[in-house]
Amino acid sequence: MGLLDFLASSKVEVITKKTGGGGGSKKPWNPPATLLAIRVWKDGSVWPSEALVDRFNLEYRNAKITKGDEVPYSEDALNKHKEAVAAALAAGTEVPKDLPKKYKPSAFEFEGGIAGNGFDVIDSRKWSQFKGGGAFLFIAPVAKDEPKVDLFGSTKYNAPTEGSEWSTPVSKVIEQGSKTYGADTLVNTIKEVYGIELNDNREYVDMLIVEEADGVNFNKQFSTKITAVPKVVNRGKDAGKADYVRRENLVIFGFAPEEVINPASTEVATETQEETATEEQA
Amino acid sequence: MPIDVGVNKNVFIVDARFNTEKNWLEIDYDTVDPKKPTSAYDLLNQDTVVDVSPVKTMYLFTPSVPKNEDGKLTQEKMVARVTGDMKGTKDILNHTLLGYMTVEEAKLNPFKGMDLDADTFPIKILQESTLKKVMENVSTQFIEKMKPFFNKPTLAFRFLLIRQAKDKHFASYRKNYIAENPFWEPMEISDEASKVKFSDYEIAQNLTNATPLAASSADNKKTGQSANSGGAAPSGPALTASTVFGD
Repeated sequence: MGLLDFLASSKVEVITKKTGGGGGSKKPWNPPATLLAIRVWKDGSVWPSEALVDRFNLEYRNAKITKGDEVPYSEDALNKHKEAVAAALAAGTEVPKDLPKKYKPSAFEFEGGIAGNGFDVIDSRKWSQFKGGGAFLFIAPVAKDEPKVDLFGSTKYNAPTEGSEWSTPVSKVIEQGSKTYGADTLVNTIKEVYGIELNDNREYVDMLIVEEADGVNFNKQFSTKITAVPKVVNRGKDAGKADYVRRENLVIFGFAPEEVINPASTEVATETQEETATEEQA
Repeated sequence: MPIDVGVNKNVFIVDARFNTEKNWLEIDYDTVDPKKPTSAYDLLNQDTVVDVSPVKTMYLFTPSVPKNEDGKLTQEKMVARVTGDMKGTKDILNHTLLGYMTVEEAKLNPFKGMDLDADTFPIKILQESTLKKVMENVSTQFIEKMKPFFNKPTLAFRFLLIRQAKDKHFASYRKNYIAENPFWEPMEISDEASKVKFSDYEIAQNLTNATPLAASSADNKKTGQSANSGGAAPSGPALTASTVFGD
């Protein structure tokens, strides 16, 4: 028997890359293709439907990225750091690390001159222009290069390939599954406003984007020339504090689970999730 | 409460006028007050004493060309200084308009009807006649755009005024970094989310109150206003930055 005889019965396995997110290729990460909806999962990841990507131009575009200039620290900040280091050395305690470099924000130029859209999510309870009882969520498309876009606002970019000045997005919007806004805010808000808790028994909810429901035309009734969209301060000493951004000519849509918009579909939605859970166990 | 240095609430713009003789813009502000009668007749015909806050008139003056008698200022520096002053005025008006309309609708054309372009600008902007015309342009356009919104107490705003200077207690408009630090904001925005507040710089420089200086220190100071400020009602000769400060 030769040393290499084992090779006769060996083979190389082709490894196929999983798409549509991690955690198992059988999970339907995105809503049905033709539904104008965002599927929100219990981990906070958000996934748009194909129809939504097309309708609202959500796809990420190639970009030319100019990194911002380095921002020097003030003399005061540098002196304070030196003092902190000296004090730590004298006391024998952990010495503060070097101050990290700071840069101005990068500038993006998008291919075709269009950034594409993301969404603002508006909680009626925090929207000072909303007058009325009850609670509801609204959603509005907004250019990705506007500040504080809640959903599908940004992605990482690959370095430009040789000979090209354009950087390509690391992922397509339909495959991104970003959790930032969903985990921090959206999952809890859906629970508070619509009473839907996402957990092992109900792993996701399809949030529909609708122009009209139950006799209410959201576009006409709630869209105004100037909208103060409620936000939250993300960083700094005021982190967590209520904030807002001024937007112009927003077109407002309803943003609600299918069972709120179409109550008759409730049984169907629940059955579908149970069937999926059963398939996975098998 | 009269409108003064600080965050004034429930303020609306009553009217505005461009004084062509003195080349300044006057803007009248008032506060929403359910007790205040809507007409002057009713105001005088009250049965008893009713305290009402007066209308506050703010003034925006035409910037002056800096005097350069010692020749130390280069033309570039003079252009930068006067352009900065005029930009300050334009930004105040533009910022106010954005409380009512979109960016597109709020655009002001400072050079409307003027024979002026990027090449001739550095020469012409140092002429008083040009500055007067630019001021007239932005002021009259502001008034025209504001006409549908004058005297509407339902359109109430938060209105921040800062102290003009450490040694001048008159209320003045904030003119720097207005986009990030607004002075004019709809009352619809909750107090919690409001961005209208004094900046760290204004606090450090004691520009947050209207306390007059003591008489002994005030006697040695000139009174009056600089470009882009509000202040007390003017009287006597025309008030401009140059007549007040002499430079």
